[in-house]
Parts: sequence; structure tokens; C-alpha cells
Amino acid sequence: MIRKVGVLVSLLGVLFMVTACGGEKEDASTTTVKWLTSRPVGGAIDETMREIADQYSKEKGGKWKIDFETTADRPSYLQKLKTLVAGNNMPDIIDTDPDLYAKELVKAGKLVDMKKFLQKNDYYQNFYPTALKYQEFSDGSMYTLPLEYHVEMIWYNKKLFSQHGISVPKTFDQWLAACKKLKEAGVTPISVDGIDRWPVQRYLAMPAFRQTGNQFIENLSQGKEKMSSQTGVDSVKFVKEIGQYFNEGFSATDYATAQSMFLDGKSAMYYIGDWEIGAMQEKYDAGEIDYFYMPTTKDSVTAANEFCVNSGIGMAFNAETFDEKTKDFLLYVLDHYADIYTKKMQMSPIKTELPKDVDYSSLYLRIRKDMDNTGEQFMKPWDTYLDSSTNTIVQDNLLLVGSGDMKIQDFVKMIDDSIKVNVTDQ
Amino acid sequence: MKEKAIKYLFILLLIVFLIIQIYPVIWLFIASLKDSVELSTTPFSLPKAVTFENYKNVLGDGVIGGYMWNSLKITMISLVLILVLSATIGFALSKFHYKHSKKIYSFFMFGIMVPVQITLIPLFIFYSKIGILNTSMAMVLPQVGFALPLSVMMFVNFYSFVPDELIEAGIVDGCSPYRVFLQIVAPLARNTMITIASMYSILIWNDFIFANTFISDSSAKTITMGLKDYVGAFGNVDWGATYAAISIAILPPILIYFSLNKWVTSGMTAGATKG
Amino acid sequence: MGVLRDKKAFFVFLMPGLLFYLLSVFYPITESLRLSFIKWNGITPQQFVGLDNYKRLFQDPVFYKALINNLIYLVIVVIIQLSIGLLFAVLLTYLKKRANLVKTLYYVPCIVTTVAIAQLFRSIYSTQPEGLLNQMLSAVGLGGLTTSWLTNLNTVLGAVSIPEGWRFIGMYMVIFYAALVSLDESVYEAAKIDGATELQILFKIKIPMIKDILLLTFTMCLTGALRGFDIPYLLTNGGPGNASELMSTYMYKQAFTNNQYGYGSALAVFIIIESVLIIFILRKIFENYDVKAQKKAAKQALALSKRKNNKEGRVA
Repeated sequence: MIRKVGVLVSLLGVLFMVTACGGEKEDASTTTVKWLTSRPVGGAIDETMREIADQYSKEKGGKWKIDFETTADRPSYLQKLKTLVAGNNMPDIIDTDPDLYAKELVKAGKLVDMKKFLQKNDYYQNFYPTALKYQEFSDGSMYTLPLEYHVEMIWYNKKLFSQHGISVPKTFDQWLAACKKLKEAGVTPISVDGIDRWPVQRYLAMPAFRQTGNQFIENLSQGKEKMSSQTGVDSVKFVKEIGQYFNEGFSATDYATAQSMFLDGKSAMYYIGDWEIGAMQEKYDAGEIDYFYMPTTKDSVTAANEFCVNSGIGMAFNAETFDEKTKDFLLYVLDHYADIYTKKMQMSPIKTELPKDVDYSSLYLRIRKDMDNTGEQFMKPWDTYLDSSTNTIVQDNLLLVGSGDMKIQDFVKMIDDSIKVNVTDQ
Repeated sequence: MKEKAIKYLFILLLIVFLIIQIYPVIWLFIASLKDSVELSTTPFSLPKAVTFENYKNVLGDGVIGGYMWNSLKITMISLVLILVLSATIGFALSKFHYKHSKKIYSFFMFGIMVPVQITLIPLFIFYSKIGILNTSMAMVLPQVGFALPLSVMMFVNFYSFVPDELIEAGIVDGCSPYRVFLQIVAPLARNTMITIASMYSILIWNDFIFANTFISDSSAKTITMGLKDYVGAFGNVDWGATYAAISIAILPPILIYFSLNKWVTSGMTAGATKG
Repeated sequence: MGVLRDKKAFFVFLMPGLLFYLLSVFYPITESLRLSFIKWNGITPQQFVGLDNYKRLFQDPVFYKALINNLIYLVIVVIIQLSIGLLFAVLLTYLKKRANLVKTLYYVPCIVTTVAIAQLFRSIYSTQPEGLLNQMLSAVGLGGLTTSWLTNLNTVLGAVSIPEGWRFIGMYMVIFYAALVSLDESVYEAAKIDGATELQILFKIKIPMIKDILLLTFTMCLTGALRGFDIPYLLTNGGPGNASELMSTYMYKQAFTNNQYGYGSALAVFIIIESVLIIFILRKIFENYDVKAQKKAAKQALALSKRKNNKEGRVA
């Protein structure tokens, strides 16, 4: 018995030592830069950056490394990022949207001014202007670097449309009419991922964008506009109207299910961006599906070629650790990113010629042409403008509006109350 | 006749419940053999075409083994600490004469009332200050700490059934309290230890929130963090791959639990006779 | 109370564990308390705001919704876990063969990762594509009851509670079974001879005898339900609206999504106080029952001895 105990105690001792000293042993001469990232593991960006990092590391004789710490699930990533920041442990490179949290980081002087950096190093004009503008705060400053470039559209099932005599809607009224016809024929008009909330929030932003560009949401988020204004109410009304054409139980439908419903022909339309080109390719080539962009209204201030364009979550640099070595790496990235990324059948935010040796699908080429032809304005998602408390309230309760469980005026009042408390009373 | 009918009713109930309990594991495994679109549109039917694509994806890059090893390390270390510490604390609080034992016991009880999510930032700041952030200790400390209240409660409960005479006899025989504990009391607590071990081995293995927050070294990622690797752009999740990964991930806990349980039957009858 | 008096040994046994506890559990509790008086978004310096967070708490309609939701959730979860757990533990005691195998299999849901359970139930509850629950209801002719369980405001809270409840039934069953099986048979053998039915033995003898375990499991169950987070968060994240918002999901939202760490801490403190109160009430109920049971037992013993005397008197 004593022997057993002795073994146990020594085992404990060993365990203690192993756990307490389990830190990293680093070669003092190698610089390691840490990137806390939220990109899909094995995705195009992840692979591209790893390739570039490897190449760069080799060129530096292995004396420079980058450590990717990937948390692909966005909410978990954000919780981790916020914990690290609160614990004064912000990594060298992070991913963030240009939202109010990022603004606070900027105010605290934690992020590197990307706009200045690109301008100083003569890279600013190499980017698509919209890709950069998407990363800007409302005051025009930019602290995050775009690594992707997407358009968002409404995909539709050609057979269901032709079966029910529906042509591609050009206006909101036509769109709603098409939905109504489909629903009456027993077809689910639109499948929506309600669980992630942002897809529903897009519908809220649409009328406002057509009526005022991004002016309304910018003013609303700063307390200079009210949700109870005509634009606000029109936007909420639209969600209520189109919400009845969403699939049943959309508030609890997840991304994969909503998309599969569409691909399986169980719904006629599905709103998603071109990052899903891989999933859409087959059916598109078979002529089963196609897409159209956000419809307009009679008195739109924004044109038909202006809709939601986004350049994804941005890459931001820790101002404290942004030294010469990291600068050098960033410049290297800017030189090589577009080539490698585009070869992977992706749309690069940096303007570049398509390599001749890669076979791009007709869908890719068509979308790329669309991108080159977008107007100056683009619909910026509301969650980058609103303060987080209001945004949470919007996202949670918009589901109820869409499902018909909440009255327009109640929702409007909630939002105005929240903005009052969180913005104007500060 | 009535007896037999009741007996059959019992057995029927037990079987129905059994099906309800193991259905998820079966569903999980079948789901991992389906392709993603089929999985989303017909989640409950048998696969039209069994595909091992998901498993190929998951096992292909070879990292899942590493993740499981990390999870295993943390679970084992935490378990040993939990058992040793709660057994000793329980012993101290129930068998020693000390004025404030009851208060200390209540002090421990506080711990089960804490919603763990709120402790993340304070713990993070604290661990950062005392410099254990990038070590496994940062993961083990909270797991052990949060497991202590309940484990201590279970041990105290068990010890209340250990007759004081047994201990007094040991003292009369000249044993120190340490020997009394190691040679007399602890061996009796085998059942309690197994119950705690089976409960917490699973809880710690399946923990995500502490792992996600405290592990910064990608080589130290645990399996629950690894499950999130199948999240795609803008939130699309590759469920097929995720289910395949989960099917692989729950194998060790199932094995541990089944093997621990072999001990329980023999321990059960032994524990019942307290002599 | 205790039989050992070696003070030094006492501290040797106590201190290591106490240290772990202080460092990983108690310290965050005190920190949360401190932070609940502060306004902080994780970046800017912390700002002392006194009782503002608490004032806000008591005026927050979502807080009250979450509070009530949590109590309903609690009741559902506790009923499912403890009653079904106890029921099957009892049934299991009558199983002569293979009890261990069945017991082990019953435990399996505890082992499955919450992510899988959440997705499974999401699929079960859905209408498009039609989930298992709706399929079964239609099959037995109750098609009128089919609905999207996770978005119907009347059913979402219940729908979210059930997976959590169901998940740990096996664990409580194992605990109850172990307790029932370790009971001293002689105690109820005597009652059997006196002609008591199985049911009477169950309720009047066995269950009171496992009283301590009952208190333990009630405590575990209640505190677990008050802190329940994983499955509600994954299934609906408190939605739609705040229909399935629980205290813990709301606290997490405030702390990490809304960057209001102070307010989140105030919510956490509330959860802790609420748990303490509930456990306190629980203990009182059990103590009361104890006192009542002892009085009753004394009465019964007296009655029994009177009967015996009468019987003997008659025979003799």
C-alpha cells in the first residue's frame, strides 16, 4: 500500500513539473509573430497566408516564424480575442471587423493605421476602392486590411421560376410579388439562416440603402436619426413583408440547412455571397440555378449595380509590436497575396490580372466582371455601425418581426430606446 | 399473472428508454457517413450512399490525434488532482475535530453556484499576472477548482458512513492520521472515486470554454477546440466532418467509462459491506 | 464532530485543495463582485459606477424575462432529471441480469459532445426539413400539434430545456442506483415480513433512507440548471427575441457580445445569490422533512410496539 502511495505521489510530482513548466522553449534568435485569426481552417486565405509565411520564412533563413492560432467559429473567436485584450495580451496580429469594438481599440492606440501604411508604401491604389472603403470607419480612417472581396446576391432556382412563370425581379415590389406567387403554389420562396442572425439583418438594411445609401444607418447609429422615421419604418415593414416568405421556422434554421434546402430544390431563392461559389458551381453549370442582385425601387438613390459588397473580416496589427520585421513581412504579403490567392479561384481585394495558366469557370469570370462594374456606393452591413447593445437587440428581435410575432411599432420603439440609452445619453 | 405483466412492462420501459438514450450516438455515427447536403435535407434517414469522405477529411491532416492527446493529458492530470485533493479535503472536513469545519465546507459549496463564463476574464488577467498563461497549468487549475466543490461534497457524504470507531481503532494501533487515511479510509472510497472520475473525466474532456480561452499554443489545442475547425466562411459549418470528428472524439470517454464501470460492480458489493 | 485531533495533519490535508479552490474559483467570485460595481468594455480603463449596474439590472425587462425563463427551465430540467433518473434507478434494481450493462448504456448521452446534441435536437425540432418530432406526431395522427418547436414562442423554452434535462438523466440514475443498491437489506426485509408492499417499501423506507443522496442530487441539479449554458446557447442563443433567454446566456451576451463586462458581472453575482438562496431553502425543506420524519417514526414505533403488545397479549 505504501508503495502504491509512493508511486502516486511521485507521479503527482512529475505531473506538477510537467504542467508548471509546460511553456514554450524558444530559440532566442528567431522572431515569432502570433496571428490570432478567425479564417476557416484549410480555406483559401488560410492556405495562402501559410504559403506566403513559409516562403518569407525561408527567405529570412528560418529566423522568422508566424504562429497561426485559428478559431474558425466567429463567436468563440471574439470571446477569446476580447478576453486576451482585457488581459492585456493582445497578439501581434488579429482579425476584426471595423466595428465599434475595433474603434475602441483604435482610440486606445492599439491598432496600426492601415490607410497611412498603404498610402506611405504606395499600395493604396492597388486595391479595389470598395474593398478598402468597406474597412473604413465612418470618419474615413482605416485600420484593418482586407484579405478577400465578395459580392452578395440572391440565388434562384431557374426551374421553379419558369414553372411558375416568374421572371427575375428588378424591383422590391416585383420581388415580393414573385414570393407571393411561389408561396401560393406551395413552394418555399426563400430559405434563410436565422440562427446566425446577420442574414435576416441584411433584409432590414435593403430598403434603407435604396432610399439613402448608407446615410440612414450611419445617422441612426450616431443617434442623429430615428428608427421611427419613414426610412426606418419602411425597412422594418419590408422585413415583416418578406419574412412571411421565409421557410417555416427560419429563426432556428442554421446556415448549412438553409443552403442545402436551396441546393436541393426545396426553396426557390437564397441570399448568400460569392464565397459559396464552390457550392453553387455544379448546379450553375448544369443550368439549374442563377443569381440576381438586390432589386431597386422607383426613387432609389443607389443604382442597380450598387448592393452589398464586403471585403470580409480585416487583418489588424498590434501597434505596440509592429516593428520593422513585421512591416517587412506585411509588404511581402502585399506583393504576393493577389497572385497566390487568385490562383485558388478567389476574388482578390488587390487588383491583379488573372493568371493565364488557370482555368476559371464561367461563373467566376461573370462574378468578377460584376465586381469590376459595381457602382461607387455599396451596402455596408448594419452590425458594423450599431453599438453592440443595440445590435444585439436588433438581431434578436428582428427574428420576431420576420416571423410575424412582433409588431413594427414595438420593434421600432425598442431600437429607438436602445439608441437613446447607449448612444445619445453618453 | 399480474406479477409477470408488471415485469414485462418494466422491461419494456427499460428497453424504450435504452433506445432513447443510445439513439444519439447511433444517429451521430450514421450522420457522419452522409454527405453534407443530404445531412441537412434528410437528417434522419439512412444514408443514400455511405461515404467515408468526412472521415478522410478529419483524419487526413493528422492533427486530430494530437488534439486527442492534448485532451487526454489535461483530463488525466486534472482527474488525479481532483481525486487526491477532494479525498483529502473531505477527510479533513469530516473526520477532524475543528471548530470551523462546517464553515469551510459551506465555503466550498459556494463554488457550484458560479456561472463559469464570468470567471474567464478575471482568471485570464490573474493567470497572466502570475505568469502561468501558456502552460497546461492554466487549463488544469480551473478544471480542478470547479470540480472540487461537488467532489468534496461527495467525499464528505461518503465519509459520514465510515464509522468513527474504525479510525479510532487505527489511532489506538499507533497509526498517524496520514496512515489512517491512506490505509484505512481511502481504500473504502473506491466507489466514490470511480463515480467522480467517470463524471469529471467526461466533463473535462468535453469542455470547450476554458480550453478556448486559456490555450494559446496551437500545438496544445484540445479536441473540443479542434471540432470547431470545420466552421467555414461566414459561419457555414461542415456538419459531416464535425460529426465524424465527434464520433472519433467520444471514443476515449466511452472506453474509459466502460472500463471504469467494470470496477464498479465489484466495488459496489464490497463497498456495501462496511467492515 | 471529528474524531481526529492532529491540527497539523488537518491543515496538511486541507491546504493544497483549498489553495486550488481559492485560486481558481473563489478569486473570480470576488473579482466578479468587484467588477459588478464597475463599467468596463475590456479596453478603456475601468470606471467605478457604484450601484449603477444593479439599478440597471432591476429595471431591465430582459433581466426579468431571463429570470422567469430560468425558473421554468429549472423546474423542467429538475423534474426530468430527478424523477426519471430515480424511476429508472428503481426499475434497474429489479433487473437481475445485465443491470450493469444497461446502466452503462444509460449513461452514454452524458458523453456525447454538446455540439452534436444541439444539432441533433435542432434537426428533431425543425419543420423544414421535417424533423423527427413532427414526423412522429403526424404518424400517430397528432399532426395538428406539429410546429417549429424552436421558433414557436410558446414552445421554445420547453424545447430548449428538454435536451439539457434528458442529457444527464443517466448520471443521476447511476447515482441513485448506487445509493439504492447499497442500502442495508435487513431494514426493509423486516417490513416485507410485516406485509408491506413493494411500493410502500419504496416510498416509506428506501427513499427516506437515501435522503442524503437526494439532497446532494437536488443541489447538483438545481445549481446546474441555474448555470445551464451550452445547449441553450447553441440551440437558440436566447432567441427568437428573448423567448429562451436564460440568465447565463444573457450574462454571456452582455459580457462578450455587448462588451459590458461590469453589467455581465452584476448578472453573475445575481446568479450566485439566487443559487445560494435556493440551496438554502432546499436545505431547510430537507431539515424540516427530517424533523417531521423523526417525529413520525417515533410515533409509528410506539404504535407498532403497542400492536405487538396487544397481539402477544391476545395470543398469550
